[in-house]
Amino acid sequence: MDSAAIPDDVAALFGDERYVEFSDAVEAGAIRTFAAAVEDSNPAFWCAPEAMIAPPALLSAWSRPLPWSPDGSAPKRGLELHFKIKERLGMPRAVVASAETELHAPIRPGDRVKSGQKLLSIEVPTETKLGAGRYWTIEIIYRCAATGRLFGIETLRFFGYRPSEAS
Amino acid sequence: MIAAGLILPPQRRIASARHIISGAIASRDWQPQHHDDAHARAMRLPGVIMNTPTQIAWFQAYVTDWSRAKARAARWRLNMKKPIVAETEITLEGSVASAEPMGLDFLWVWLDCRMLSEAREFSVARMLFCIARQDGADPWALTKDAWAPPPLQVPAI
Repeated sequence: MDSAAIPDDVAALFGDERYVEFSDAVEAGAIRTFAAAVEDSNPAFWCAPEAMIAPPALLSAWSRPLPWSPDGSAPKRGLELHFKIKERLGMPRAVVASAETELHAPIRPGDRVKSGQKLLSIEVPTETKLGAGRYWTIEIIYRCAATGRLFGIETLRFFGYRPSEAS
Repeated sequence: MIAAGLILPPQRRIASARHIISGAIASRDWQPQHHDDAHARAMRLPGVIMNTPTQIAWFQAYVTDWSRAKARAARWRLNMKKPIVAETEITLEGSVASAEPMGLDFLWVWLDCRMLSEAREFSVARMLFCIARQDGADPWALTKDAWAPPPLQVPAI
């Protein structure tokens, strides 16, 4: 197979929104924990929960499942679509190259967030300092689980690669 | 007055292991390159690296600290050029790329910000904020129909 070709099972991932996740209810403690971690004193993140707004930078957190389950089942992976592409293209490593986000309705305590992932593009193979690999771009759409109201859209461009021997 | 060309005062921060690890965990990012040093080094990274939400939050806190008035992020594009690891001394810099009124109460403001260390660019962000022009105006209170952010006008970065 031509190394630039996209395998059929990867090409089949284009199209629909996949790997839909529902977050737990957003709560004030999670908002304050993040605001403290990044040392952001914005009053919108520290006021009473009734008036509180989740930090916009926290949008992607609501699509990430927990890393452990009490029933022993394998945990779900955040950005499953990305990991599927990475594995099927045979790229053992990947990093985020760029991230673009548009925000719509604010997320507040009590909201549950529904997210879905869409594959937008897979680029031709290329070589960087990290190794030989290729870029791909995924969109994650965030909505209110109860009403369908759009919260935001995140577009991530990844570079998946095989570390070079020399490095 | 906020207008194109306005330079934001720089802000210095030292990225600690706590910033990197707690930022990742608080954003539910369990990827090992953000908390496991050996794993990060096996990825040819110089150590555990600051994740995307933490970098965005640093940029946004820098802008809202500067604006004082209520400011609501509308869009952003982040381009991470070099990994940020613990003990990196970061200087945040920024400038207003353009600004235009949204009615009487608000201003759309496009900002170009970057994180530098030893004069090298580690991360750059183009961000669009809606900023209140007067006391009492709250961009977070805008209705769904009134909230219509214009394009990001991404520069070549």
